[in-house]
Amino acid sequence: MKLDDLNDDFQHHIELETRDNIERGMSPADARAAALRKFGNLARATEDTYAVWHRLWLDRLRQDLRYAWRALRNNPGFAAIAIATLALGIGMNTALFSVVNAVLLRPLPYPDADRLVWLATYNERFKLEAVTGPDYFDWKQQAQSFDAMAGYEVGQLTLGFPGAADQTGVVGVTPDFFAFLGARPSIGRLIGPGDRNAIVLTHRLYARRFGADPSALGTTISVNGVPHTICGVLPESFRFVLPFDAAGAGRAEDVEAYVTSQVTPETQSRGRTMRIVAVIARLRPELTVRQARAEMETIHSNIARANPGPFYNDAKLRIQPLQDKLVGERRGALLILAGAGAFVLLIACANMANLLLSRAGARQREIAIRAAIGAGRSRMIAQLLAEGLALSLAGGVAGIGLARLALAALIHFGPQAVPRLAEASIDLHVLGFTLVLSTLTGLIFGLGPAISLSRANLAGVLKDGGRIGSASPGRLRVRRILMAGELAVALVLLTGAGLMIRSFARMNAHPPGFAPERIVTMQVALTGPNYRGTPEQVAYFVQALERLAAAPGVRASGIANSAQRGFVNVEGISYPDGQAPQTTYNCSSSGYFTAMGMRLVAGRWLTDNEPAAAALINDSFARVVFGSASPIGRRLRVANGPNSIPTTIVGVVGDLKYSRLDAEPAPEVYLPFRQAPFLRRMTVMIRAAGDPMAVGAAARQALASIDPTQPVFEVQTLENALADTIAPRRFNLFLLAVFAAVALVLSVVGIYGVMSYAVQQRAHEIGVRMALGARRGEVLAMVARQGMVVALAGIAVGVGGALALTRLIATLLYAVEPTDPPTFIATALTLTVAALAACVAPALRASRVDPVIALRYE
Amino acid sequence: MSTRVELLQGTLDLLILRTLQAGPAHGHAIMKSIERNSEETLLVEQGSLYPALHRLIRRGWISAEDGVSENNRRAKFYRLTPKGRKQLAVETGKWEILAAAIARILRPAQ
Repeated sequence: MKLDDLNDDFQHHIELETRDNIERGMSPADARAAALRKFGNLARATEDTYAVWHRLWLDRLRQDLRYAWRALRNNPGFAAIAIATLALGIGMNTALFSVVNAVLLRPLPYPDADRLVWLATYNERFKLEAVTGPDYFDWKQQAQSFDAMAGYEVGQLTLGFPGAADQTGVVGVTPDFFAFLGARPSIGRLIGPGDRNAIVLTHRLYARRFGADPSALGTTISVNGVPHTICGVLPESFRFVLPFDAAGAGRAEDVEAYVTSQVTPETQSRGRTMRIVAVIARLRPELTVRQARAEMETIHSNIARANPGPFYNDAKLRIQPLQDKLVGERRGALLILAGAGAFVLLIACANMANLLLSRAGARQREIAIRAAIGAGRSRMIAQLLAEGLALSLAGGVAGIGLARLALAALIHFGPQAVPRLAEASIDLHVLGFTLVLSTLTGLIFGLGPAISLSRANLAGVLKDGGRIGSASPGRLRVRRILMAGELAVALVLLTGAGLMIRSFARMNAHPPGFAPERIVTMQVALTGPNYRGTPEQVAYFVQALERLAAAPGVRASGIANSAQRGFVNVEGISYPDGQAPQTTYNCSSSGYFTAMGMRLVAGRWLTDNEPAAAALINDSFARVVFGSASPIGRRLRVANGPNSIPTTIVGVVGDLKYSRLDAEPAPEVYLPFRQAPFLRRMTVMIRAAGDPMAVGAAARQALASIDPTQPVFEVQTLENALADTIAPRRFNLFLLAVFAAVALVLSVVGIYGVMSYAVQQRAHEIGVRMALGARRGEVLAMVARQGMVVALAGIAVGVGGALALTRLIATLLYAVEPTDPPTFIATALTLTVAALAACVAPALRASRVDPVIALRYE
Repeated sequence: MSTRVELLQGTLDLLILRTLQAGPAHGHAIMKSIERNSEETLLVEQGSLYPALHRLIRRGWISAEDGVSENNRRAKFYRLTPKGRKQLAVETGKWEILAAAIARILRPAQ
């Protein structure tokens, strides 16, 4: 239907009517007027007819959106701030909750994941979870609560291929492991009952070492020197995401092969050979974890009764859903981060509300005029809704973009230690939720002016002339409360981030001269029949030390390992059973101390040719065990066995955080490597004269020249190695800092919005004041004071909230109290300064008001 | 003027169809015809005539074509379609039942 046609029709109608009227004797002018009167509202008739053919609401929506777009374009500052607020709120939360979802909530990639449980015994004396082989077989035989049970052990083993060797993550699995996880081979078959010395490759290893050539099946490769037959390859999609057992080493991402476990009923017997194994089981569908626990407790206590001794007395059964075990301690960190996200969303919504309220104030007159010239209330509400919608759409689109960027950044910078982080993708539920929430905020607060504009005050608003909103103290109060609330929430977030930043600084604090960036570390693990005995191992390392010392760029070099943990056993000091402090026994060459830049506190250094059994202890050991007495010349025993040799303490060295940055210094004992029985795996430490990585490469070559079949791996600077130990904390810090920064920006924007509005509102009053002689400084102070009263109230509430809430992040902190006064003072000051800056800009503008213009502005 | 009544909702459609039974006509003629045949009792609100015409076109009961009116001017002429003719019968029947029922309710004594 064409509008022209319709109009033509109408005109024709009116002409005929006019003619009829003339025939009745009216004057032409009266006749036309009467005809028009009779026809009624032409525009209305056009619209109604048009509506027969068109869906009008869609048209109106399009028109409203167009108008809204124009209105926003005319107000780019408001639009930009509102869209940025929405984008930050939507984007950051979607990204973070997507991570929480992937890591915490998504089921494991195995069948019946919700019924999988983790079984372990927790040894209270050694503070670790461990299941011995014999326990596993007893459980498997006796327990009725489970459909299936499987065991595995994760280790870093050496895989020997023809002419090459890899040190890589290898999982030893019991025969029912793959059936338990519902895995299928891509070629060959998987390890099952009856297999011995069989190996299953991951697709990655198969592609790397064999070029994905199926003829690899049936060939043998050596695993720590023992030949194993390749029986199959796993599909690319299969992933190892199970928890590690107590003895497990490496990272789940590094697992490249599966071998038959050495835990078999034949090899395992109590009191003789026992290996530690990780145990997973699948609950019968009709049973709960609680019921299974009851049965397992009975089995466990029967075992303990039949095998009296400290091992079982100190062990408690543990059973928990596998998902819970896997997420473990990270749950706390993730929930705290989720809380931080919720805070940011809260601030974003408060900001949105504030912005829209201030805009509503500025538009009251416009809306009143539109109402006065006949705009229907529903039509005006639709218009305001369209504006809210336009903002929300723009903010949503920007938010989705930001969410994608943020998620990519999170995965890229995230630590390997967070399980399944790499699988995170934008979660549509989360995105939908945040979109709906922020859209609703936009709509509700955007509607405010239309709803509050009753016909009664229409005249009042119009009469009020150019000055706006002076009749809405209630609205201003809401805005002040929102602003104070925003600041309070921002302060809590900032304090949390501040505490973590301080923890981080403490972790990274090195003693002077330590210089971990100049130290290269690498691992050597001796495997195979050539290195079974200690003399062969010593011979290898003696030769290694000679060649390393001769390698170019090596200033100092040494070897060390943290071989064993045990209870302190010093002659002349006795502890009640189980109360002795624990210590770590390290074996090291004399060069190690030089390479690490360690400091001698008392006594003398060790040499590489000690005539008698000798040891160094560290400061912590001396303090904990000997107090103020001198430890030099005292004797300790390395192990509790009858044939342990008394070893004389010849010196004390300073504490060094060299293995984990986020651990407190603990008692340590250093033994000369020739006297130590545990030499298979050593860490090489080299202090480099030049480029550390070039020196590392030279050192690696020097070691390979001794025996190319022994792999040298994890070549990196000590700085990197240490950084890895705090990667999860760094990740938490990074996330919390991002949230805190977003909160800070949003709340500053909020204050600025409120203050600009207040100044705009009072332009007339300020003009009067200045005309009456108020000085610029006085106006400035008055406006700033008004804002700062609200800001300081918000900050005070925030400090209270932070005191209550930072306790929750105590577990994420290191050497910092959750109520650390410097952090609290610093964050409160930061926010105060930020608030002041946000107040001063509008105040400055107010003080520059030209009284003449302000008074004339009616 | 006091004798004039406004049309009931929906009855305008029926009256238009009835008017067009006599042959194609333009909007003004349809209005005139309704007013004349009701002896000036029914007042056709002209603002609603055209939306009603277009509603009927959309339902396929009438069609519009260009023609030349009595004042030698190009105008839209509306014509009853076969579908519209059937609909007229249906609507007339319905109306008679309705009118009779209302009459019985309003004057139960008679």
